Amino acid sequence: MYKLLKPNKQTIKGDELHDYDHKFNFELNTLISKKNGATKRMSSYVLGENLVNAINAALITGRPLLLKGEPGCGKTKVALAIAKYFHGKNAYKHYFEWHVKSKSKAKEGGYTYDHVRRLRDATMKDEDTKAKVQDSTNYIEMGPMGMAFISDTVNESKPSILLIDEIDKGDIDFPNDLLLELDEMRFKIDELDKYIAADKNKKPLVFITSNDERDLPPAFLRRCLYYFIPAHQEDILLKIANFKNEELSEDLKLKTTQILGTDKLQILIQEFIKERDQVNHSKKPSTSEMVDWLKLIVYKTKDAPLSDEEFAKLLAEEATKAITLIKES
Amino acid sequence: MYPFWNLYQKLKSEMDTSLSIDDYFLFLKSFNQMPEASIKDFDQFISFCKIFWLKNSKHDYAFETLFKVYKKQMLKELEKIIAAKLIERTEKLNVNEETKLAAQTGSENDKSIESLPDSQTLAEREQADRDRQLLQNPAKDKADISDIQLLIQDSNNKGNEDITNFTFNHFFFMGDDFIMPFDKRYVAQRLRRLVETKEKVAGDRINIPEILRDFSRDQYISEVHMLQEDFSNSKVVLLSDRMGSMLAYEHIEKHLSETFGIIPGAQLEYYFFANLPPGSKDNQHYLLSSALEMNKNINSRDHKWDRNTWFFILSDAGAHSGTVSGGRIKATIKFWNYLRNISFNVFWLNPVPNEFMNDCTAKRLQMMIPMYGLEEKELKKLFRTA
Repeated sequence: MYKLLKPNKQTIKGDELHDYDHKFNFELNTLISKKNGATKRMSSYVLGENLVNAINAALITGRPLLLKGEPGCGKTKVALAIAKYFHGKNAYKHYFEWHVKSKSKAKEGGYTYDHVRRLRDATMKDEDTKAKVQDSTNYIEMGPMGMAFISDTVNESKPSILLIDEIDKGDIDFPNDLLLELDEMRFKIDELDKYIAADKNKKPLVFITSNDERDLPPAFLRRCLYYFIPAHQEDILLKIANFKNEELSEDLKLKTTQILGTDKLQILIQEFIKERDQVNHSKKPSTSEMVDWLKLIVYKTKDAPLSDEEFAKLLAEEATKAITLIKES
Repeated sequence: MYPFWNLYQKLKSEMDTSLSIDDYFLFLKSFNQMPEASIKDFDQFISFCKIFWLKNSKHDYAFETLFKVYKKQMLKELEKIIAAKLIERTEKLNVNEETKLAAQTGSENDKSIESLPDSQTLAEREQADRDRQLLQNPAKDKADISDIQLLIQDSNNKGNEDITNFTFNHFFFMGDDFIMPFDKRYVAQRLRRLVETKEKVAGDRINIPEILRDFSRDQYISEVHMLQEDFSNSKVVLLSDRMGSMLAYEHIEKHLSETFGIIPGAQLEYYFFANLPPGSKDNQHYLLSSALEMNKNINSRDHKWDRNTWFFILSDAGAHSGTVSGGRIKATIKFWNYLRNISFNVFWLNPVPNEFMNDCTAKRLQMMIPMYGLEEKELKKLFRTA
């Protein structure tokens, strides 16, 4: 049984995470993950109580969690944040993401077979390459889903995390082609006539995101839990703004006097909510747009601290809003 | 004996969602294993139920409404279950833990019961929620106004012959998918195999395994093999009546065109027409007004329809008029025969349910032209016939 998240609002703090290279060893039947020396930045993430419940439900039941919500509400970033929650700085060792494209095939999530390389190698004269050609496993590249199934999390209380991003972008049959994979957490490598399966007690935690551009088939929905990320309320937005403000101030190396205070952030959030709740927007500004707006405001205020009136004037600036929030003429 | 079973049954029967027994047990398993204080109030309980039993955000409103209707009953059930859990847990703790720890857990659980709002507070909160939602999201309000506007515009446009002008000048807010009589994806998938003409063609990708087999056999590449791919092509034509009473079905028409639009490999041609009797307006008869192209006469041969084309006509065929028009019957049969001479795949979709039709043009036409309703039951009939 996996460790569950605490049942209240959670903040997962941003950090520099180690990057990893993964390679599957067919002989040992394990995924070998090595640090490649690089790091990747992860921003802080604030989880609402209901989202925490949904993630806990997915951990308890072992079902994938289908996340929907307005673009920019943070669907995609949940998965990495949860990987960070469980695995800390080594999140990328156990976190695998699969970004679905219109031409994506369900099989590619499991593995790809490089026939072209094998053909090229077959034309080579040297003995080493000739020997290599005989072994099909040399040409198999594991996909993100395959890696998540076999990722060794060592500790059974912490799952590996798989993100299947924007599943609605795929072909109409794409979700149906994933039924066995998601239900039984296994798939077949046809070229080897071999199944790759997740350990029953170490099933990965799967997040699937959708922008609702296409209806998903009932058979697929039946296999998922579902959560709609709503537009955040003031308290969560303020938390997010606080974290982002800290990160931005660090990046810009601002002095303490130049950093926006919580009172100013609160005004910004209230302005944002007012703008968001206006009915005449064809697309309501979302949390990510609020962050962009904040970035612009922080950048504009970095040279000299502003008085309250000057700050209010800056917030009311239509051009800045149009670029970041409204995005329509 | 089975907690929440009644709630699950109600959802299943009243919301017409395809829930399986698994969904019930998954809910139960999670509810029992969730950390303490995960569900603090009724709103959080609704949200928790949605994780398991709401599969589509289109049903969100109906889901919440149902919960509000049965709230009292659910609250009672919820309190009973939490109280039972509390007793069970306290008993266990009494046996296994120190008395101090047991007392502490008990008081925490007491709090979780207290935090369930009583019916009076909930009623007040509900009203406040409704007010707040109305303030924050007047879209629902606007939908009502939009319906009224439609009526006003309809009467204002009485006698206006320019159908395209009218139809592009107003908006609907009632086109939410969940009120539609059929599911887009279901219909598109069922039609997919029926309408497609499939052929194997050489694709644009090289068949490497085949070449590799040649090479390992002959030690040279004799031929470049191409992958054979299924080429699926289907022509679907939607002819939509946009005159008079049919204007009220604009949202269904949009739903239908979107359904045809997602059939893989289908090329959709989408036209408006006026299903009118001959006479003063004869020149408009058969005149198709495309959403994308200039008006064109159906009799002109500039279209590329053939026996593989699938025609769907959306029209009430005069069902709303309540009268029988001989001229209209003749004209409609002429129209029908014209299309049937091109392809056998012509289907008349009539949005007016049969039981609401008295003796009228449509009723008489049904003796000669098979018509299908838009409910799933009727569409299934169409799939069988096709």
